[in-house]
Amino acid sequence: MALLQHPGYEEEKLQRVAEQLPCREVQAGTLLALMGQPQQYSYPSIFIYGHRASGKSHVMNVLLKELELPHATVSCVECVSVALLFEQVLLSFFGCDAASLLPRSPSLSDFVRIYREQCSQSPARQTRYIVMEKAEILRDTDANLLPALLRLQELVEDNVTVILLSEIVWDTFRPNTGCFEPLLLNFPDYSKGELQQILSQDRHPSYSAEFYSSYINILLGVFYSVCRDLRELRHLAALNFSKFCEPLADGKVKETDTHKLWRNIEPHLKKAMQTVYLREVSSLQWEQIQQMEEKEAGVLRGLSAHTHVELPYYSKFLLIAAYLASYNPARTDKRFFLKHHGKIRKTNFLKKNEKTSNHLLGPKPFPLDRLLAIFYSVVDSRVAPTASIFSQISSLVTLQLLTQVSHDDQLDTPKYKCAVSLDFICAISRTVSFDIMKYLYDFL
Amino acid sequence: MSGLEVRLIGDGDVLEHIVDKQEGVQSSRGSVQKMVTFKSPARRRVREDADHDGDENGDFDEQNYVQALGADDTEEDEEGMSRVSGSSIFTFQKVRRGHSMAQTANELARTPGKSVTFSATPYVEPSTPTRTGRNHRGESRTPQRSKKVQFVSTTPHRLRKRMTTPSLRSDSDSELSPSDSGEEEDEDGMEEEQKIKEDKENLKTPRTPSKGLSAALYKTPAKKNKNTPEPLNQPSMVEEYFEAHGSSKVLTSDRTLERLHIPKLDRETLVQLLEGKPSSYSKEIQQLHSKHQKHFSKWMLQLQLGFSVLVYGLGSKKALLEDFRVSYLSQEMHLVVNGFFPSITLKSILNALTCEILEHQGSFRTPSDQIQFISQTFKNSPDLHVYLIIHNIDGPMLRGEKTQSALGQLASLPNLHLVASLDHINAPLVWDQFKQSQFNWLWWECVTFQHYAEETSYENSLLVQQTGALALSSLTHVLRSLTPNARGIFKLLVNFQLENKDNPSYSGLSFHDFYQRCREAFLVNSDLTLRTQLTEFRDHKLIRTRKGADGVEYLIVAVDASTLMDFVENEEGD
Repeated sequence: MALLQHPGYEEEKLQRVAEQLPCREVQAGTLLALMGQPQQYSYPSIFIYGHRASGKSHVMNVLLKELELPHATVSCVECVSVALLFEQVLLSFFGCDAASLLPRSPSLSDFVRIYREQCSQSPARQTRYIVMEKAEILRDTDANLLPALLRLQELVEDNVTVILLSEIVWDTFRPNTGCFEPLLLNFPDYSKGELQQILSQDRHPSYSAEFYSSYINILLGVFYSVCRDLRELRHLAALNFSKFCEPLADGKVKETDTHKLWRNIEPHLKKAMQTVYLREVSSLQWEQIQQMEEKEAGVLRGLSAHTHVELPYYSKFLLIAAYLASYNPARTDKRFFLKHHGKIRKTNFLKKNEKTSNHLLGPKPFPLDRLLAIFYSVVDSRVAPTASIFSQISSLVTLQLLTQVSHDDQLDTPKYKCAVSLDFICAISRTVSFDIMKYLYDFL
Repeated sequence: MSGLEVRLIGDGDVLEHIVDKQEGVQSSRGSVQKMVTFKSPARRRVREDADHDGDENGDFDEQNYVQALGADDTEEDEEGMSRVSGSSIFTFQKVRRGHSMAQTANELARTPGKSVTFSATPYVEPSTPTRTGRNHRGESRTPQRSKKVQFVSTTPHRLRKRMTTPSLRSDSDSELSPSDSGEEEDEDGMEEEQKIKEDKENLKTPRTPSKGLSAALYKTPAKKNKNTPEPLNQPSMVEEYFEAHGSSKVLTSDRTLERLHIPKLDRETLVQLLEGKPSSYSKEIQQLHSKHQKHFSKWMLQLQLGFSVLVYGLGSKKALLEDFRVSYLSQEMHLVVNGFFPSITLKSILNALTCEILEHQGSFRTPSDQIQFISQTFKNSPDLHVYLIIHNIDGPMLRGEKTQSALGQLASLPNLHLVASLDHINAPLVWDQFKQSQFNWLWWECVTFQHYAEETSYENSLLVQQTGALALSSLTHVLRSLTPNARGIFKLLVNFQLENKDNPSYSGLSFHDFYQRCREAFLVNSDLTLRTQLTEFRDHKLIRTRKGADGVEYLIVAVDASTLMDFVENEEGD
């Protein structure tokens, strides 16, 4: 803990900060060095980037809170308009009175003007910090906002530092016309050892630290290959710990018998990876499953199993026709839907090179008349082209089973794509006893 | 048989009618349509003599076609013929072979069995005889013929032939010369008188008993029907589609209208020329009109009951709706919307509703605000009833998703009543189930056969010289066929012009400036590309160039500012 040393701050505060920031001592030290002593002018803007859950916001928050520095933390997701952003900054620096001075739809210059007015009344004795979380959203706002924030110290003539937090590298932020370059700071990923160390911290009070640590070890062994997100791992650890402790509670094994514990939990964790991790089964359901002994995990059908949709008869056929139109090349239509398609030699027909690619490349757009032609040849009975058939097509579009490709003309030559999967269409064609595989070019 | 009969027929009948004409329906309902399919044995004989292997479908349509063509040539037949050609509007004209058309022309000239069709009517002239002797012969041979009747899939072949050799048709037309048929008619005319007698006998023969005329008509087609395989009928159309679209070869011709070297007409002369040609069926059309008028009171009741009336069918429905408006809505508050008008927008409809009818001053920020206000006002005053008449609800500017959902919201208000007409064949695509439930349509088939005079007056025809500035719909139509970059280039110019619209001394954007701007936006990569693009715009009359005082060309969009603003709004909306 000797790493965190800085002349401007008290020793015990730094001590507390260091305790809360395991494995981030280097980054915190750099930041402290950049911030300097409270009354010193800091760099106008610092850009911190790193992967998800690498402790960017946490480090910033802990530093600013524990060292009691004046700061405003703004999440750019919440600020749908710049007015909200300005209001939040003014609110946390100068109180409600300042925030109420903002006009209804404030411009950047309004903000700067009010900030300067307030600033002259209560000049900064310490550096003020504005922390912008999820700063990548700033790119989509007004073009002048990001350059202005980067130069805010200059504009308002106050001791203020803007800290931008993002998962995206700075190069994609840079405006065309250039801007004041911020200081770049990278937060690297946690290594496996670091993850182990951090996760082991929140141990259960009734069990020993070594026991929990061995549990985390097993958990990381299963999940580390697919997931390095600290938050996700922590959530999984909390969810499955009760199952891990079960044999212990039954008295079958001792705490030190790691191998037996591992044998017990390992298949359970594998199942968790397929269900809870993919959010097929909600965490609450997972906990309920664990409590009910008799009910095996996985018996419960997840979200993705509910792909069965009940459709009207003709809509089913329309969807089937759309699928065929989307995944079959138009030149093969004659072969599939014409009784007397003349002499198309099989050898001649099979020399295609796109044989396997149709399902890999995704659906292709098709015009309305092709859909109707396939529809009529697929349906056994005779169907009148009534308004209801047409409105079923547009209803399928509304239900997002089809998508309209170009929004150019809705009536003259509309083009569609089929947006359902092979499994879905197979299930549908089974209900109307239509053998779709026979008609699909890819599975010939 | 005095007037043309039109009945409301069910879906099934329509389908039968569209798909396969030769399928005999034994009921007397479809008599009007079935007239076309009648073929006399005598005619078959001629065909057999000619010994060609055309299929039934083709021949039927050839006959219709020739009848339609020949209506003027053979004066005697005119009344009878005109009827038939009228019904041929229903049928799908199929591809015909040039050679067989000439044969049918011959047949027609001999006028085989036509007289049987109309012998009971006063219109039939004595010059359309039948040869009874041949009649019997033909009848005995029917089973033999049936082998030839079998469906031979020659249609696609012929289709291809037609596409590749457009000259064929003109050839066959020349074979149809009146002199050709005239000779034979003279020949036949010799025997005229006795033929009439035979004719009458023919009517009394047991084969055509004195049932209704229509029943007699059905005799032959019904027989024929046994031979044609039934299940083939529907797929045949589907198959035709696949045959036609089977090959990816696209044949384009360079025979454009330009090659005619005929100056384009302007609209006035076109209207003048068309006025000189009155419709030959004005009486029947009038009858149809008055027949539809009888339903007005029903419409009124249905509107009160919360339905919306949707009028569909062939012909312009504008006069009908106008009639309805005059006779029933003149005392009520109503608003007429011309959907065919190319510059109509949702905003203008809503503004008309709020400003004129609800007498509200002030503006709204969004259309949804405006609809909210309208529905609130209607809710507060339940005695207020407003009738909304929309000619062409499927008009080019109204078919958008947003416009239709806004209209649907209006139509679902209990005291706003909607009457609309529709013409596009794919029009039901506009409404999904939800919108249909909002509109609560009652579909009324109103075939009027009236000219789309007003509806088409705004359309761009190749034959007509364009006058004045471009309308909003044609502007969007032209632009949608362009590449995204070309659209970007045009939008750049439009935006620049809109910025300067209040500046009277604005004389357009100079080419050099425009090029700089386009380069900055990565729309063009060289001077030449932009020039090519501008030529294209000039061809479509989207822009005008003007030489400035300093010899630099200035570019102006030749569309007025309000249309441009609507255009920009629409583009952003999409």
